[in-house]
Amino acid sequence: MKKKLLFAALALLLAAVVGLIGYDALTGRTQTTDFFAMDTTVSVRLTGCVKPETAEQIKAMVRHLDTDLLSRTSEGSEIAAVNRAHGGTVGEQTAAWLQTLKELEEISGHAFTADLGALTGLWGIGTENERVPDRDEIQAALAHTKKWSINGRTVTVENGAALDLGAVGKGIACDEINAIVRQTKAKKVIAAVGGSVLLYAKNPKETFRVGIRDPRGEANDYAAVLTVGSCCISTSGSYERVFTAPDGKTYHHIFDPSNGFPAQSGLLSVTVLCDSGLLSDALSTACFVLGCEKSEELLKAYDAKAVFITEENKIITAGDLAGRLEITADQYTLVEESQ
Amino acid sequence: MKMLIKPLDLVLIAALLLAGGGLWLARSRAQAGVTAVVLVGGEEVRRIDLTKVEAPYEIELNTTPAVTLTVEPGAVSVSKAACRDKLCVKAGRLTKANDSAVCLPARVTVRLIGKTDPGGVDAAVY
Repeated sequence: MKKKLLFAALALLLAAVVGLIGYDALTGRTQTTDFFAMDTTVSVRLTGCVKPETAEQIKAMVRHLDTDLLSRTSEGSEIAAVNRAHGGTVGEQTAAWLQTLKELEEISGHAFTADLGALTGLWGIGTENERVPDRDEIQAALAHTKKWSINGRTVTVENGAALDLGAVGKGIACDEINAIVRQTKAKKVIAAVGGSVLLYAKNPKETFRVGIRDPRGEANDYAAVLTVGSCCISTSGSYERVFTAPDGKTYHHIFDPSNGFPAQSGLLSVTVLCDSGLLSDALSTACFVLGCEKSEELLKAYDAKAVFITEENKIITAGDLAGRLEITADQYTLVEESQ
Repeated sequence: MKMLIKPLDLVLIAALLLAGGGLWLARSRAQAGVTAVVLVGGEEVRRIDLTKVEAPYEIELNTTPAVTLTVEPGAVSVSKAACRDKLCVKAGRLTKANDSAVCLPARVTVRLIGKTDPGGVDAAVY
């Protein structure tokens, strides 16, 4: 009798081991998809019992966002059509994004401005036509900005201005990827649309380690590492897409809507975390323009957290990030913001 | 007396346990070390186990603009690129899981995959 029990126990144990290995092999599997869209590289890592079609669905969705809705340069996009006609009707999705941005523009005192297209076109940073425009040209380009409006699905843009959602398209893509994966059995998702990242874990206790690029280092060097749970996270930095003028001065691509020049707020980069990719993208741009101190209220209004890296090599946190940031490059010192 | 467990059963149990253990070992072994994945236009064209590289060599990618990779023991880098900004070359040597170098004009992505080591990261923002 004893032997029978022993045998049963052994058989059970064996079944459990084999079952666990099988379960782990099935649900612990990670599928990685890489593709190009929105002028950048998109990488999606899905862990769990996820159908391969999900990756295809994500790819098609991001390309659709880019070509049909958001791109300024894709002729068939809603934004391009509105810019050509100085207004028009957009779809429900685009209208919702634009309304969110309009509100953020007002709350941020126009530190983020969606109709800077004429200005970015004038500087052309990152294109073959990059140059330093003269002040008259900049004033002329600024004259028609901050004047776009949205009412329901009807958008108006001034003649001489253009909507440019380049700063937030990647975050919007993160949000849409999030919506797709939440309907699957994914246990864990890491999606990077360029430098905008979506992190999702079904288990609320699970955390991710996110490297914040060292603004003074190479592309794979990190100034600090953040440990965070599910969120969207974006960085705006003055080291990305720079242009060195014939006079030797360097200009970056994040413009201050108040003067039309690359923003100078004492920062090298700002990283913003919140629930929405659209907001983390727009807020990181606005905070970069505002600088560390003036960003505080804006971040609070959106319940967002941030990490600022200053020109004096200080790393300053905003929102509750106590104990979740680890400095990994010697030259920086951590200053935890008093809350 | 009738034997409840016959010698053959014991052999079977042992074999199954061994197979299970082997599978587990293979899975954990497969995650150690880094592998370079080279993608052109999002399609995988090469996969190189960097732990098995003994001597450095170059790979010419047939892209426009042309991109040359240098593969070394435990590292890979974009050594030459005919693009304008050379951001991919500036990415330097990739050595850790999740390091990457991208040449947008040539649509080339080089990414290291493997188990994230304790000091490594799951994702990067820039």
